[in-house]
Order: sequence, then C-alpha cells, then structure tokens
Amino acid sequence: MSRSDDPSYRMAVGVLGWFGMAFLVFPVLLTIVVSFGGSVFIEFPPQSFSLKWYANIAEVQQIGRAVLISLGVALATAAIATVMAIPAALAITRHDFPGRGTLVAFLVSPVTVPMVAIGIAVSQFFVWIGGGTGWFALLVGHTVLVSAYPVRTLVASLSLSNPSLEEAAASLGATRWVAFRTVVLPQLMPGLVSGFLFAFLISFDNYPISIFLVKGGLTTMPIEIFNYISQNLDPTPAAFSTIYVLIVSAVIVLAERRFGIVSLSVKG
Amino acid sequence: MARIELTGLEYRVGVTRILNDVSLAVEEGECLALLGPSGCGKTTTLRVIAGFVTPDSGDVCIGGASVLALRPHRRNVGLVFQDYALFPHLTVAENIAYGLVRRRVPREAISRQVGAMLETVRLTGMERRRPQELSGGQRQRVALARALVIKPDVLLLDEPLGALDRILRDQMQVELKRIRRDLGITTIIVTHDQEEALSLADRIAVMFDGRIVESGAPEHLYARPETRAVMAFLGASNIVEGRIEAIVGDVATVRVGDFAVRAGHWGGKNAGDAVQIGIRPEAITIGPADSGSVENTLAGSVDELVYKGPHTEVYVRFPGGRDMIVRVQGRPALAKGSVVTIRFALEDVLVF
Repeated sequence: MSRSDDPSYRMAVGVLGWFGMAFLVFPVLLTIVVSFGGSVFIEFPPQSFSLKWYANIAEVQQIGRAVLISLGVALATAAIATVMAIPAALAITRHDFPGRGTLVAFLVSPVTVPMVAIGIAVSQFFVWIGGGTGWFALLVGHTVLVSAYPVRTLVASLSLSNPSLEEAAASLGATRWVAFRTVVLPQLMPGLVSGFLFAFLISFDNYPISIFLVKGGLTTMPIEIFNYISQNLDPTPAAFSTIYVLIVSAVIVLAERRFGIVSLSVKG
Repeated sequence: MARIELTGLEYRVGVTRILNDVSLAVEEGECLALLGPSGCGKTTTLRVIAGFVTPDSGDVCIGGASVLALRPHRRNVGLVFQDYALFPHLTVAENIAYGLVRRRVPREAISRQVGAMLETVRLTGMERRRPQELSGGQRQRVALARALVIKPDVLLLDEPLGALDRILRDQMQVELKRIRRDLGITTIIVTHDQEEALSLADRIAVMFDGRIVESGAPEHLYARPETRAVMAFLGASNIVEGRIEAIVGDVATVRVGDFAVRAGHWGGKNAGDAVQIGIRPEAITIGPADSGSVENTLAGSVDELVYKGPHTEVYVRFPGGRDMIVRVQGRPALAKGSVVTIRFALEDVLVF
C-alpha cells in the first residue's frame, strides 16, 4: 500500500487542500458580498443590498481612463513578451549552449527580484537615458517584469512536444519554416495562450512597478483604484474587483476548455 | 523506388566514433535490416540517409545520385519513426495528406490518394480520428501510410514494431511484408530485434560499435555466422572456448575441456589455435549414442528444464561444470538429474 492510499493521509491532505482553497477564495468572496452592500461605507455583513456601486464605476471617470491605459499596456506587454519567449524557449529546450543554465536562472529571476527593485531600476534607467516616465516606460518596465512567464510556459509546452514531429514534417517535404508553422506552433498553443494570459494579468494589475513609472494624467488601473480607496470609503472598488474577477475567471475557463492550459502552468 | 548506396560513412561526436566506415548497398526493391544493439549506430545511419545527420565523410546515393547536399525535405525519403511522430493536432487523413499538401498536390488528388492509402493499410473509416484515439497498431499503420503516400524513393523504418505488444507485432509483421511486397519499395529497417530482422528482411547487416560486421541473407547469417558476436546476437547459442587439436581431412577436432568436438568447417583456423565453437540449441538432439555415426556425442546430466510452450530448453551439464542449452520439441519426458547423451552434426559446429 502506497502512502497516498492511507485514509488518514488522504484526509489530512484533503483538509489542508480545502483549507488552502478557502484561504485563497475567502477574500474574493468577501469582496463580492461587500460590493452589493447598500451603505456608503464598506460593511460586512451588508445591512442592505444595492447595485448602485456598479453604476458608480461608470461615474468615476479616472478609473475608466486608467483601465483603458492598463489594457493597452498589458496587451502590448503580453504580446511582446510572448513573441520574445518563442525563440528563447526554442533555444532553451532544443539546444545546449554555454550559459544555458545561467540564462534559465536569469529568466526566472524577475519572480524572485522584488518588484520595487525593478520599478526603481527602470525609472532610474529612463531618467538616465532622458526618456522620462509614461506609456513607453510602463511598457518596458512591465515587459521586463513579465518576460519570464511566457518563457516558462513555452518551455513546458516544448518539452512536452515531441521533437521528432519536426523531423517527420521535414521528411514529408516541409521546409523548416513550414514545419515550424504547421507542426511546432500548433503544439505550442497551450504554452502561448497561458504565457500570454500570465503576462497580461501580471501586467494588468501590477502596482509596485507602475507607481514608479506613471505620470500625471497617465495612470494605470491598480493605481487609480488604490487612489480611490485612499480617498473614499464606499464599495465601488469592490464592485470593480467583482467584475474583474468574473471576466478573468471566464477568460481562464475558456482558455482551458480550448487549449488545456491549466495542466501546463502546473508543470511549468 | 531506387537503389541506396552508402560509401565510407564516418561520423564522430567528440572522440566517440558513431559511424566507422559504414558502406552498404540496398538493391532496388530489396528490404535490408540494419540489426544491432542500441547505440551501435544503426539509427544514426538511418538519420544520415534521411538527412538529419551530416556525416563527417562518406557519401549517400539514392538512385545513383548523391543526396548529401540535399536538405531532409528535398530527399523524398519515407520515414517511419519509432514513436510514429504522428501530428497530434491533425486527423488521420490530415496526417497522411501532410506530405501531399507540401507537394502542392491538388485537393481532389490528395483525397483520392489518401483514401487509397487508407485502404492499403486497412484503416478505411478512421480518417477523422485523431492519433490519440488510435491503438498502437493503428498509429503504426497511419505512420506507414503517411510515409508511403508521398511515393518515396526509399522507405526507412526505425524499430517499426518495437512499441507494439507481441500479438500485434506478429500481425504487423505479416502486414508490413504484404504492403512492402505490393509496393516493391526499397526499404531499410533498423532494429535491435533479431526476430524482426530475420522475418522481415531479404538481407541483414549486423552492426556493432558503428561498424557493419557482417551481412547476408537471414538464413545464411543465422546458420553460418562468421563471428561469434553475430552468432550470439542472432539468437540463442552455445558458445564455448576450445583449442584446435588436429585437422584431418574434412574434420577439425577441437578440444573443449574433457571433450573432443569434431567440426565440419573451421573458418581458416589452424591446428593449435585457441578458438570458440558455437552450436545452436535446436541443432542438438537428445538421445542415445548412435554407434558409428559421424556426429558428435557427449554425455551429461539434465540440470534444468525450462518449458516454453512449443519447445523446452534443456540445460545439460557436463563434467567440469560446462552447460549447454538444447532445444527439444514439446515437453520431453526427462527428469532433472537424469543422465543424457546429446548429439549434433559436424556441420552444425561453428568455429570462430
């Protein structure tokens, strides 16, 4: 009998698992409940229910503007990071080259370097080259931050895919480019999609780096939400967060259905 | 359909000599098995022909012309991978059509040829399935169909039956022979399984350590191998050390411990040479000495009986501790420990 068959072991793991899930999900549920509160102050449990805070999102124009800016930055960031990740992942999985281990470690490092450090570094860099802050600085900063994620998901995708597929394509008359397009790229779809999503989401709600790079009139969603919370006590941000959570969940469910990305991010 | 000729292929990785002067010709329509243990260079040889490995020196000719300068996609070689390498995102029909699409064959012609090929490999009705939904044997057929539909000059099979279980392997062996015979295509099969090589090939080339050590017709190679290694690799064998005592007329006498074994041929060895002798287990019979015969007779005791279904392997022990395996039809009425006499013909003794 292996240990995973032991009923008490299974129970302990099960309890821990559900406890962990609850720990992660509880704040989200709380936010959702609070967003429907009728009071002008955040209260739990709500004494009355209302949808007015959802209507209020539209009234707070700086949030709307910031969301559009964040969307633009996050889409551009994710696109650049994902495209850059393809050759990087191919090099890492298909070739052994000097410094490969270092490169892999480096690509994983933004995960371990404090974001504030990246924020300061990028803002200093732009001051140094005289570029100042703004949209382009946000794009660069976020790209530095998220670049590792698509590489990791693509490396996972590539190491799951069979290298002899490319050779099979070649033996059937496909040039390298055609083989890449018709055989390798379709194998990479789960990695591309999940890498893009990772990059997009991390960029979209990043605060610590953005705070160094925004300037007056050009702020991102998380910064505006934070500003709003520091000046107002009503549940509008909760309503906004609820919508955000719903949209992101829907996108992830769809991506999983279509591309099976979850198994990949676990392996990555 | 074309003749393949390899001349003096050399390939090194670092200091390791992967291919060592590999020269080989496969005639038009012939089926050659490259047989050898894993790591002997047989798969590398196949990859050189397919164009995935560029040899350090030597040449590869298909149909009389060198293909060494051609990239893999220009070589018109049908390749079946050990793991089949079917495209998982494409259906069976799309997999088979892949090479035709690359050749810009018109759509109607593609569907006609794919349909005909599905019939050849007996997969009609499966065209819309994905590789993941097929059994191992069906995947093998798709891989074969995909390689054959492009009408390659040569067909290269890498351990074609290695991933199949025993019963399926026997079925596919027959199937493969039928398809190959129908198409008459020049074929090279890479395998480490001597049974596969013996049953599928017109000719076998045995490879060890990057070098072709022997080649010939399966029955010749099995019955009259020139080297001990080839004999041992091509099936069960009894190989023992000895010394040639005398060569008189047509008979060489080899001293093996307490026994004198007489051999009908001795591979150019001389009296006094230390040699090895080999006898196939099925060339030996158990029975009382036949007085006056020209056979070898030895007396020993039954040490172990291993029943294998159609035959039984009898381990006979001789004074001095030597063992020999004897293959007997069915289940012999022998008891462990009983004293037996074995005999084998002079012709069946190989001297290395």
